[in-house]
Amino acid sequence: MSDREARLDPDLLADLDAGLLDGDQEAEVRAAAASDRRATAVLAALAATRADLAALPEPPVPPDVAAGWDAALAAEARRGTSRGRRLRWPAVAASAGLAATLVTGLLTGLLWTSDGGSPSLDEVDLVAAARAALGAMDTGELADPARRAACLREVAPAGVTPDAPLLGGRHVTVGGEPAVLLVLASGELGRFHVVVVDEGCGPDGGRLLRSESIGR
Amino acid sequence: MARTDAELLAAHVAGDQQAFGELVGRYRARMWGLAMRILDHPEDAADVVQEALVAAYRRAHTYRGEALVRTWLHRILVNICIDRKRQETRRPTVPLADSDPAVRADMAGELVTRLAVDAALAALPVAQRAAIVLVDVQGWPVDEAAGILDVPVGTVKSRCARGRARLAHLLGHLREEDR
Repeated sequence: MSDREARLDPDLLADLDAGLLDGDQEAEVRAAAASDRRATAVLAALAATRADLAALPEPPVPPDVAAGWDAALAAEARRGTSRGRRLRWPAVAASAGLAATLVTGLLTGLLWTSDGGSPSLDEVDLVAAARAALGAMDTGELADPARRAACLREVAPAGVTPDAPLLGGRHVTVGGEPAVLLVLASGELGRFHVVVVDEGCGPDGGRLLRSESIGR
Repeated sequence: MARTDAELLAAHVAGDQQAFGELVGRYRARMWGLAMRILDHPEDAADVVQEALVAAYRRAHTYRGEALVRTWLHRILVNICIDRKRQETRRPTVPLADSDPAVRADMAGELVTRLAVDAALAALPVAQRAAIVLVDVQGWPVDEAAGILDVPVGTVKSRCARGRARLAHLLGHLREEDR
């Protein structure tokens, strides 16, 4: 008697109901349960529970909640955070074998040797420096598009149009001299121009310290 | 001809601006329902789903086709729900009738009060709750639920079995003398 009760305890019946018992055991337990009032009641209770759960309505998404999600995704689109966008820096860095350097460098500041002022570009790879400059707009007077265009006309880096859109920039030092690094759109997907000029660069002249075209 | 989930995700990664919205439009109601029922605090569901949508948007390029897109998407959501639960400070939740000694004393040995199903679900530990919401409430096939929860199929079935047994009691389908 107690043996039979143990065989048909609610946990075992729940396992049966959930399809956890293997072929032979399942057949045996099901047969035993069929002739046992309590076991039958338990199985019926489990079936009723599953029916209650299946009948639960799917709560509708409130319109303001949905609008919030739409806004968040629109913000992501503007930021260009999906992999398929124009900014392919991760791909560039990986293909150039720079990914690990970039991550380490950015996290620990090892890319920059700072004399308390701006970071110094010595043997620092221009790609890495430009990567760090993206999203920053620390370009001093060269933030002014007219001044920047005049500067670029003066120093004339190869392949760079003077009114190219500025994607980022920051103050750096080159050989101890204060300078400005500019990341400029090239007009081609996946390619950028990185230009470093002296701080005073403008319509009256300037010096081109570095110029490179980067990307695919 | 509608694009498949996988085609939409690939289009998104390739730069199609409409694709991601079209894809998540198919699943966000279900994601909402899942978050509402898994979290201890349903008022967090809006934030949690948003976090999952943004994470999926950004990580789309990492999808390798090892699972269905909808499995991948819901797994991101479930993981965020579980992380959110771990971080939560203890906020009071509504106590259940059967944990109140005075109510129990009134029952004369038999549970009469029928709890609302959602309140009963909230009484389950999150592992059982997640399995039951996926399989029994939302009707996911057990193997897909296993993919979403990142556990074996047998584990999903076991969690469902334990959870259903407890719910049957809480919902009053199982009376004391039937246990």
